[in-house]
Amino acid sequence: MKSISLYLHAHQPLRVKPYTIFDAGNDHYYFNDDTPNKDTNNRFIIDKVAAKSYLSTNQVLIELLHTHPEFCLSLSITGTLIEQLESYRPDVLDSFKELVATGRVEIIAETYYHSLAFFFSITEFEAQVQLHAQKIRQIFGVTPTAFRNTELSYNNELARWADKAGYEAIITEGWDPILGWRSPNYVYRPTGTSQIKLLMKNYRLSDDIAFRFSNRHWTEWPLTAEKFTHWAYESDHGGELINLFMDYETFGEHQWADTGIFDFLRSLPEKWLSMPECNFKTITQSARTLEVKDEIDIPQTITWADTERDLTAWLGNAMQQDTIKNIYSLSDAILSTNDQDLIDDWRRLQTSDHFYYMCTKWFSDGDVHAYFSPYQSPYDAFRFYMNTFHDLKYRLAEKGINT
Amino acid sequence: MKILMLGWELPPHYAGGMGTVCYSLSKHLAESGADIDFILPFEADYSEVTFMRVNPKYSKRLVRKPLTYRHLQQIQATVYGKVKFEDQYVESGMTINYDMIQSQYLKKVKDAVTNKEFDVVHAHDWLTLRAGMLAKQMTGIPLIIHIHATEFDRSGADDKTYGNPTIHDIEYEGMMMADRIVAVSQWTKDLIVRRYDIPSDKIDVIHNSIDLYSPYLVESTNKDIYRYIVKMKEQGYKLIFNVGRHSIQKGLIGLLEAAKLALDIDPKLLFLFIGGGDMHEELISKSAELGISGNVIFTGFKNGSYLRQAFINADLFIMPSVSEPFGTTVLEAVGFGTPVIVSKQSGVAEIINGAIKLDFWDTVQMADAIVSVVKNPSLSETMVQSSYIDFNKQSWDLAAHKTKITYQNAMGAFV
Repeated sequence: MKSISLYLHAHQPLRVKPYTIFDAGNDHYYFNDDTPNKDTNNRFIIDKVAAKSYLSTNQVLIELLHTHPEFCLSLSITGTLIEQLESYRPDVLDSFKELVATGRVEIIAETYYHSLAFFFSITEFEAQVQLHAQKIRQIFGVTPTAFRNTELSYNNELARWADKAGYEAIITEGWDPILGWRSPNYVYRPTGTSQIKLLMKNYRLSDDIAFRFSNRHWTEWPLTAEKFTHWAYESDHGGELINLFMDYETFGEHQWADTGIFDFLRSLPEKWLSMPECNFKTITQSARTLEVKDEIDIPQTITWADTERDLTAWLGNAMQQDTIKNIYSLSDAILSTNDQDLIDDWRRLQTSDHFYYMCTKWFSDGDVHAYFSPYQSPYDAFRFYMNTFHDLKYRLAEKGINT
Repeated sequence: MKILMLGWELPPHYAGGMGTVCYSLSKHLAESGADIDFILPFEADYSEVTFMRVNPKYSKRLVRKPLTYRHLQQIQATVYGKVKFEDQYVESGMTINYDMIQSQYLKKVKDAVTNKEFDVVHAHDWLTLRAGMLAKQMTGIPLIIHIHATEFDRSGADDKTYGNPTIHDIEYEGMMMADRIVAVSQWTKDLIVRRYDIPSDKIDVIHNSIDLYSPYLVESTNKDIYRYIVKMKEQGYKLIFNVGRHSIQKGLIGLLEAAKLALDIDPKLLFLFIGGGDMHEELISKSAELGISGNVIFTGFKNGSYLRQAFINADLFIMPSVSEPFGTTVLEAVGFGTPVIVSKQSGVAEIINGAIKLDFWDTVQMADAIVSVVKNPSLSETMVQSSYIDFNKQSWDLAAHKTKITYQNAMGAFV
């Protein structure tokens, strides 16, 4: 038997508006830019992505779930996206609920705020995982059994944590220097754990869809579902599992509708299921049904990002390191207030995207478009972010908390 | 006395100290009877300025599509820079560079001297020197050039380097051709003698002064703009303030290093930087590298009440320039009752005895001085009182009087 585990990740941050030091103390709303057509206008972005990606993708997926009883998939959806859909687009949230209601769409656990809290404060990390689980129960009525950390960041320590927390599966990048001669197409056991199973992304096949699909200079363009399922079937003959992990926004936003990406998605299950001994499994189903083939030891942190597969796009430069240090330095003070608005804002500022916007890595390779940001420069991103940090300090001072 | 004044900026359209100095000096000269035509490289509304004529029209249609201040700002008057504009002022898609601004400016000055007789031409800094020389060549009237900054100051040059050679050459030629040179400090006069080989008896030192109630400082005041800083001060924080262009000349990397040392001793310090420039982003990165970004605030370029309120809230003003011909902002700070730390490499250090003076490169002394001033009210009060005495000795009337003597000397040389 050969299975595909299709896993899609949906996330939108709350982007900080162009917030100056002169706003600090005067305006405590950081995420409410309502300038039409501006990339820091969160409602505008949600509407745009909903129209281009979420609604169409969910439409295709629900059709597929109805047509093919054997089709299933896993998805993760962050708290910051759910919140925004609740406020701006309940219709889109309903379409996600419809998917989950089929019983064949698994939801994966993660941090509510798509944060890097695991690397800075374990108690804050656990609080955010808890918040996410509550939200998922409230909205979808399910309890996740598999875990992913932000940007598939992963190390042995995280696996041990997830194992203790009772998750059945955890996922990360199938990175060659880690795997060595081994294949990502099996289930593994993380070093130092007893129960949990590790699924690793087949990045070659995943990226054929997520990154190369519309590239006309690619020798394999155009990619058809037939060709793709053939590759997947042939991918290392004994392999049991093809882990296709990618952003939800691949469909319609990263690859626009006119590239044919929706037609591709629509015909993928049919083509795959028509091949001998082929089926789909959710991440938890794969963990439950497949045997562990080996132990995987990852002491250092890896992610699914960039050619380096590390956290340097978020924490690579001094601006990023200093801002994240600043935001976590307020932990005790903020939490001691029991002021839910203040705590929520502080947590929204932990979303990894804020640090990503300060990335200067692309200066060296000149690949400006590789790092999308709503700001003119990483320095603007830094300034606006730091000004919200100052305002958090102001709000603490108002409560008599001296930082 | 009819004066043709050549400047590059003038409030309310200005970015640096030179604009405000030109404004105040012209105003006080006019009040003592001088008749001034002031020529700028751009067109703007100067109907508020009644004491002199700004950009008067001598002949009917001189320039078909004049530049605005916004254009000028974008080009930033670099020799090599060029900017593509697409708007109604210039032809769509037209590229404008330094040469084109210069040729437009030369045209305006040529038009002035062909249609009107002047007693002297007074040109401010390198950008107007070519026009000044042209006016002298065409009419024979004496040329006074006013040096607010040289290329050595702007480029942070040491004893072996020159900065931009084209600019250096224009400055040298202008100084050679000038009948008299006004230097804004002894520091600058010494530099002109040493680096341009100009005889010292051709140079008059006339220090700048300050009008605290001039229009560019007393715009509508919004006290709430620094609400965050005021709140932090209530929590025991002290505010250290710097304003100026973010360029190598201003010595701000050193100030950030000193800030780091000072914060290690006293974490309740906030450093406010108002200004922009080619080093702006480098300074932001540097503050993060030093791990002090939580205590350093960058506002970008601001003026009006933003500046005024910053001076009012500051517990200390610091100007650590590598080479500063004068340093008007220091006078402003003293005028607002703020203690000041200045580098010895500045003109203003000559006149404010109540300032702490140190070498721009000595970050350890700088850190110690910062902490000492904000921690010891007795020291800071003494500095303020003593600085204010020197501040009161400065006046634009005095500077205007000295300038008229310079004019007379220049004209005398022609008689």
